[in-house]
Amino acid sequence: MMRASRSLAGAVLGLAVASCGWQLVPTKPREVAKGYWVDPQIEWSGRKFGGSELWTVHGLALERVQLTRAVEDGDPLLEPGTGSDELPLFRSAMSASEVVELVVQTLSRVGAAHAEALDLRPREFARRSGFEFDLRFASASGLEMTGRAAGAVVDGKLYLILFTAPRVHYYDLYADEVERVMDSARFE
Amino acid sequence: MTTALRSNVAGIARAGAALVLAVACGCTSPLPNIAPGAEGRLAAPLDSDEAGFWMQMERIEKDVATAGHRVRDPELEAYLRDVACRMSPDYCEAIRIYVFQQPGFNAQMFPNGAMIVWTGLLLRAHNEAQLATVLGHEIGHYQRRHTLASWRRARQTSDAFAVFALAAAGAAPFTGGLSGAAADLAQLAAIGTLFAYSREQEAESDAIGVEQLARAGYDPREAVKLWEGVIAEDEADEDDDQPLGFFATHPSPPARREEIERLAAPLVTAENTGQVHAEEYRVRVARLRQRLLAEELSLREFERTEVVLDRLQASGNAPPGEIEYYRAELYRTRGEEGDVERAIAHYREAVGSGSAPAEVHRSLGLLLRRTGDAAGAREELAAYLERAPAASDRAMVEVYLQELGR
Repeated sequence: MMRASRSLAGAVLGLAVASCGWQLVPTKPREVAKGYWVDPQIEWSGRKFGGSELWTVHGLALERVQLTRAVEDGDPLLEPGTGSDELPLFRSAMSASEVVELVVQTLSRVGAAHAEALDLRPREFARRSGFEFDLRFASASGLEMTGRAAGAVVDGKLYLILFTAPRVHYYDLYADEVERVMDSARFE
Repeated sequence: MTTALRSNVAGIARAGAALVLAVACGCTSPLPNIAPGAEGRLAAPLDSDEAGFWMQMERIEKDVATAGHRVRDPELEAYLRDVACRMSPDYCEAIRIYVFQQPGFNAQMFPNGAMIVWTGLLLRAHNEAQLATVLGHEIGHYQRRHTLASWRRARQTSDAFAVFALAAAGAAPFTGGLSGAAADLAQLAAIGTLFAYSREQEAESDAIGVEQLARAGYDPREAVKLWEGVIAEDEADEDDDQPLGFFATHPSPPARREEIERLAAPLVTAENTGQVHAEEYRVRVARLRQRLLAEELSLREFERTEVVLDRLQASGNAPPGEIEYYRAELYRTRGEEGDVERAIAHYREAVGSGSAPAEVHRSLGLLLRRTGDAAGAREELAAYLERAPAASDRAMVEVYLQELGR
């Protein structure tokens, strides 16, 4: 029942946003960046956002999965045009701890309030030594948000999957699917 | 102002200011003081334009009260309110203060008695008298009904409520669903700037603030010191994208400082000389200070932040190790030529002082790791885990240590 309503919601959203560059993301592995593949697990509505992809079911304010392009040295995590020309920049030499700082500062710069990262820990990502961490912040309108990020720096480029959603209801609704998306990342 | 936000808001502020300049053709007569009264109540008739204006502001205040950026700290809000009441007992009941997580030097007054104080102000005011300077200035705007006067000017050539809505709609940046839509700081700033104060209104509020400062028993020369900080930051940063508000750049900061000094001089008495209430203020802000410094760094306005750190150091309000740690963080984050060496030197100073937070060892360790100093990195990362054994990133730091060949 839950699955059916999710699919229906996804279909409705897909129709609603079709005119804004949104498309159905089919449930088969897709190449997000050159040689970097991810399996969406379920049908999402998605759109390109710079070189990155954004996926959602009910709308970005309710769940937001961002699959970054291969972020190169000197690039911001988000593409220019996201509301700030002063985003912090990724550096190839960054440690996982500094990537955490990059993500938190980027979120803050685009309007997240009281953003903080928790529990940075190692994680295998695309069969490489990577990391993951949790996030907590408030939306501008005061909604409590939570999130998880997983990624790795490979050949000096950052590959990151960032999932954020309201803490109540929506985060748990897709947390398992996003976890499987993170597990599915691979380089070919 | 922060973010996307800061540059976004600065742009909106300019647009708003331009609009106000465009519509402010000539000055209207000054309004009488608003009548002192109970919280949230306006003495004006319900069918007056002022009552309608208040209704709009009350709606906005509801968004402000629930906004994500609000710092929900009843103790801090109560302290700010006490200072405001000390400054202006007549309007004590009418003023409501909201603290917003917002680096940068500002405060914003709404015509219905709601005031927003930015956290960046708490970092830059070094004692209660300097904080009171800003609160008194903002209460001056409220008392003299400056926003209503500006709004009436705007209405001479436009439907200000419609302009209002347009400003709010246009202010929200596209952030891919990250920030949410309502009560955006950019919207608040846009609304504020639509009713920007005139040169005369700013001068009048400065005078009210200084007079209140002396009457409340504070040393009025602290207002001058606050402005010296504004000027130092402005001189350090050639980018003048500062939002309007308390630190509106008209008249220019040096002119305002000079005028405030002239106003303060005759108000200095034996009783108020040196009355700055530094210790009480330091204690109130101390538990927030590290967070405020981290927020300040996130602005990436490094020249301004250097001034903030210099002045904070001179004030004695922060331990030396903390100042050195954030100075090092500034250089590490800026990443210009020679900054790695500068950062390492300041981290070492911080460690040597014994008063830096535990994170100094992690930051230094990771920087040494980057420079190839494996032994130094190991030592610092181990020191971090020793000082913060329950650190939430312990598992990751242990991986760094393994990679370094513990």
